[in-house]
Amino acid sequence: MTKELIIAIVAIGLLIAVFFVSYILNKKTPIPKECEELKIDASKCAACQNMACTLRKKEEK
Amino acid sequence: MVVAFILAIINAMLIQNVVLYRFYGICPFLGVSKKSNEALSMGLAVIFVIVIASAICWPIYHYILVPANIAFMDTITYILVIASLVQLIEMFLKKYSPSLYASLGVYLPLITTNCAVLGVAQGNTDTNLTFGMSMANAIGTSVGFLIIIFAFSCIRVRLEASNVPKCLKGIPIALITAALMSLAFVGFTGLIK
Repeated sequence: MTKELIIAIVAIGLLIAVFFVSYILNKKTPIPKECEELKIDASKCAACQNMACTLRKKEEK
Repeated sequence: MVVAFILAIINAMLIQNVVLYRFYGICPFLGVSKKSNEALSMGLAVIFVIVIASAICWPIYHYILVPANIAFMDTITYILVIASLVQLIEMFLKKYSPSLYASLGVYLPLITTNCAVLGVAQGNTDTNLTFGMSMANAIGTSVGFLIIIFAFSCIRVRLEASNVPKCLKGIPIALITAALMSLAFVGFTGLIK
């Protein structure tokens, strides 16, 4: 049981690390010039609880 | 084998439709179906993510979670895989395909919170489907989502111009329409024996 628990913790830790790396890389990737004017409907952002969304953060600013 | 693959796609697409039969993905179904072009973009983005997420989640479950006796952690694993996948796809599109990013960009982050994606990945492993059948299920489910959201958006565009009673305008008439569509899709039951 202890071995399984360690594997589970390591596996989840790895996946969380992958998510954070992908999140940071995505955040650092500049938005193409032709897409900078993408319009977002603020009401849709209120319905979606995705905190990692780069567009939501752009709208909040 | 090919026949079984095609039948699995038809089954997931029409008979056990993800929205009208399994009631997954109701949020984008109601939220992004006011305009047909938006619904089409959302549907295409969902196809893209569901197929790739299913192709990644199936090997993770069978080759990592099951051998390590941690299959109980499937849901949290799939959530993390889908969230990471959406971030990576968004990053890839920003860098290499700005035109595709312009059309899908707004809808990609919405997919992370679309339970249809998680539902397909979970369903594929819960029912012990083979990899091929999982892909058939993923393709059928996502195309079924596209068909329904696009058809629903076309109906909603016409509803906007119709003389709907004031108390039913907006979401109430949309829910009644969805219920009628769901009943219509019951007609597909028995299509495959």
